[in-house]
Amino acid sequence: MDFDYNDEQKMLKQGAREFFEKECPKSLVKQMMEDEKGNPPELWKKMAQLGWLGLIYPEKYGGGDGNIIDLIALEEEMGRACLPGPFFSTVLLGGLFILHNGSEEQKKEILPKIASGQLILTLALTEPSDSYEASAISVGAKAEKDDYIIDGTKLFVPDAQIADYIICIARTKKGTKPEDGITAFLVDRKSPGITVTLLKTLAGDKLCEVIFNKVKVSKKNIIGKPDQAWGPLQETLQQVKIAQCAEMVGGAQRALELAADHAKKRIQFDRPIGSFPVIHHLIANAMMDVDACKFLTYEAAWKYSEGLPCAKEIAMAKAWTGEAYQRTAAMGHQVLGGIGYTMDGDMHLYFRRAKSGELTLGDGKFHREVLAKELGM
Amino acid sequence: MNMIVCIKQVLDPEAPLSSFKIDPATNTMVPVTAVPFVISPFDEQAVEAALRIKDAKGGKITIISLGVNLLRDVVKKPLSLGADELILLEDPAFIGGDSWSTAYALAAAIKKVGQFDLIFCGRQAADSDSGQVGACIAEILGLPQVTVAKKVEAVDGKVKVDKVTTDGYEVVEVPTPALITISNELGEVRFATFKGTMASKKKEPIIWKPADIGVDPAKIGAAGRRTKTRKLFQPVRDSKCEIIKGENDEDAAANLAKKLVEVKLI
Amino acid sequence: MDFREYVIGEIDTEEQKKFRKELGEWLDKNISPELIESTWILRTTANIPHANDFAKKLGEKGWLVPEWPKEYGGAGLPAGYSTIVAEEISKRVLWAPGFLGGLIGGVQGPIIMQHGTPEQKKEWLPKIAAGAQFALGYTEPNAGTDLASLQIRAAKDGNDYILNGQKMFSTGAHNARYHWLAARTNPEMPKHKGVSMIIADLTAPGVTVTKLTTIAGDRTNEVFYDNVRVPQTNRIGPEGEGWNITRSALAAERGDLGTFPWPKILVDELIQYAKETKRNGKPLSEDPQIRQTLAQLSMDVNVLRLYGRRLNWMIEKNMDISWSAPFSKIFESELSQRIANQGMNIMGLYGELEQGSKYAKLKGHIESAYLTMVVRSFGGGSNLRLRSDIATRGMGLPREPQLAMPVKK
Repeated sequence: MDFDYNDEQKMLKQGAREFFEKECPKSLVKQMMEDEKGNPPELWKKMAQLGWLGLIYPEKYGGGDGNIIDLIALEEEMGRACLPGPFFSTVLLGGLFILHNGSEEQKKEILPKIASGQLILTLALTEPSDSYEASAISVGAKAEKDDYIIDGTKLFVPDAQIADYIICIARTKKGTKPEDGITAFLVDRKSPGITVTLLKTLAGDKLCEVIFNKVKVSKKNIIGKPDQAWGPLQETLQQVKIAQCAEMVGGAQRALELAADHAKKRIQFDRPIGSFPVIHHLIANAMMDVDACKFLTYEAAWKYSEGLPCAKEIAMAKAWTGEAYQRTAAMGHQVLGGIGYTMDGDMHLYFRRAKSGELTLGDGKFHREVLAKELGM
Repeated sequence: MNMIVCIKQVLDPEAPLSSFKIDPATNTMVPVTAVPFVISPFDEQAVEAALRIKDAKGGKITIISLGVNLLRDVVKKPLSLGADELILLEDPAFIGGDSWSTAYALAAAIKKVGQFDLIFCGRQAADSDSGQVGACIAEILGLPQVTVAKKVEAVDGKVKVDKVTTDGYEVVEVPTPALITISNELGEVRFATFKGTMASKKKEPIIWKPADIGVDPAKIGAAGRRTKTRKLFQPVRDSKCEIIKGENDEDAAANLAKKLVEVKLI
Repeated sequence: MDFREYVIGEIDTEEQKKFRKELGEWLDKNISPELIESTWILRTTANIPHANDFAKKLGEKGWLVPEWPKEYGGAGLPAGYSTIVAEEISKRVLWAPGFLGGLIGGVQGPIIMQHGTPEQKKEWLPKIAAGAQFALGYTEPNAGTDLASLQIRAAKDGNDYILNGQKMFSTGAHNARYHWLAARTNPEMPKHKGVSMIIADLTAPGVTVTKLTTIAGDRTNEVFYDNVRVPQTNRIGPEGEGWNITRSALAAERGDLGTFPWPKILVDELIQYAKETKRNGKPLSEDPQIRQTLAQLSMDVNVLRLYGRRLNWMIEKNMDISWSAPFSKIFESELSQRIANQGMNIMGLYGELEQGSKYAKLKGHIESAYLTMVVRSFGGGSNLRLRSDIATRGMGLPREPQLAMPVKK
């Protein structure tokens, strides 16, 4: 067994850390929380030039032929840096869905543009019903000759306000099961009938309401097989969840370090507060927590990279990581006290992102239920 | 252009002082907590200087590093940036030396590499800060040297170097082969692309032992030291702070000016 | 990164394959069903009936310590063979490392091997290899987590030491012949120094062993030393060096740190129980809260496994484990208590029934665990103290300063 990255992945990770320390200071992160677009163009361009946007895509689509373990090495550093921007929505949610389900033409059209930083993409899944179940998909798409008419409201769609394309998960047929009859459409953001409204969120991530008011989409823009998008979507989300967990692991690790650093420096009662056993305990518990979510994520990623079944591992990683990240950042606030409670501090960045990460794509309860089913209960 | 760059693996100089303590028995710095290893920052700039010439004129870059426990994910970094080859002088006999015995070993390795136009070194190592290895190598190999460079350009078979001085810089022309030491004024070093990083996997480091480069064992490493470290210590810094007061900012500034004249600083 | 599980026997040489087969056949003949069942009650090995008989039989074959030289009672086999013995035993009993560690009685073997004089090695190692029972004598009424303040006195008298004092929670002392004592030989030196390791004979005059019964129904003991004479040649290692040699030996003897099989076994039993048991017409496994609880426990079991695997990886790479080894100990002890507590709630009133009672389910494993697991968060090191070790050694937090004022006695 080997619990660490290989030499090249370590170089990638360390290089990413140095890059983000220079190019993505916390001042920029805080600025982007208020910014409507939330994606600093210079930063996005530089990441494209380094090959990071296309890292996970095959070379023939302009990518770097990287594997998922290369990707999570980068993701950990993005989480540590609290990187703003549409990496999650464009490269993972939208891009990976097209990579795994798109036609050759769609892949050749979209993926190289993502890799070169020229195209922003997102995927509209959830609706006002706030559920990740198939039964929650009510936005409809009615066939009309060679087109479909999409009508309905999607909610909590990341980065729709800057997206060039939105992949809309819509219901085209009523099947015997709620999973049947769902289709994925690649919709041009500029199509008539689309209204995007930016929501105000805890973590400053750009979630949007997207209203589809009788939006016409050619049937050529269906990604994958009509009426059969749900299964493939869930497959894609498995890979996305692993990457998302790695991002949270990086954030949790940094939150822990900030708390420990503060405890070593802060003097109260004539000694560093880090010398009180109660602080030892808080830090030790967080160390164990962070390592747990790290290893669960690593094992899920390794199994995925080996093509082994990993539904259990992904469920465990997602359930644990979201909750551990939240626990760690909350502990960080407790240790930092007042100095961490103003907007000048950095701990709140992790605290906010921990919560949004926990809730996105299913929280601990959701994934414990997935695990219970996998255990045959 | 065939270029050689010497790099040194050091404990991260950015680590807080509290991470280290001095071992009086061996007169060395010892890490107290886990401190990561990095390439000495001036050496990273030496690599950057070579890469800039390779970008402009093409050529080959050979990296040489002397030490023990050289972490591959640290010393292979120049390969991910575009260097072509990595040679490691990895043997306990090589270490524990001073600038001279270290330079002697590096010079022998460079001789074995064979043909080269330029050697780049960082101006000084971030741990020992002696700043002499480059100069010693040039001396041993009988090469012209330009130290503390902030810009290096290959021009018609010669090299044009902007050399940092206390109040500016001077432009020096030197024929090749030559040795240049690089200072931080060179500017930002590049980041590795993903492809570059992954490609470095194929470039296995070459490891040379003392026998491979034909050195006299008595002249390398600790055995070959010509200097002796008598004492290594952290100077105690005592600072007194006097706050200059005034009725308002302008008044305080005037009082400060008066004070500075009083102590003959201005 | 590689998470491929090691398959037992996959790296065996031809020689090792033969040994494993021979050993396996012998174990099948010599490990009785009673022995297997008694390890299930999670008693300390010293209290398992027939365990010492088994140890003696294993010792006769030289397999108790197979890698020791033959002259000391081992089998003179190369490295890797003690792992094979542990693996084959673990296929048959619940917890081989603890069982084996209990059979050998602790760390005195490696300590004597490393620090004993040639005479001491000749005297003691063959006894240990043959299964002679030792009990550990560290803890005292006033020396628990603060073990350095132990008081039992070993005073020089001619060629002997005279022992006076008391040891506490010395499990197995009622069955053992020998006591592995940490005693104060040099009271003029600071607390941590001045302690020596001495082998005492528990059958000597002046030794009194008094029974203590734990809440789990297990036996432990107080051991009183009243002017007990012990030859100075029974002291292992230099005077005053007791802590150092103990620490160095513990460092050498890794064993199978960090792997504990019963959490997974108990959670699997609970999951099966929930599937098969109905309440109000529905299987317990359909209750949403029980599903969440069992899923979380299942995740916890997996995290425990990963902590253990990571620890083994760090040992293989010669990394410093002083900060990460306690992860496994802390997590397992608290997880085991959680399993027992939450398991009882899942089982409802049936959870209260002891093994052997009418209507008892799961052979009373959960009820037994509820009591036996209590000790695991302070036995072998208090979790409260270990968390400080993790934070100070692993993250560089400063240690708690020593109090200037001593506590009035």
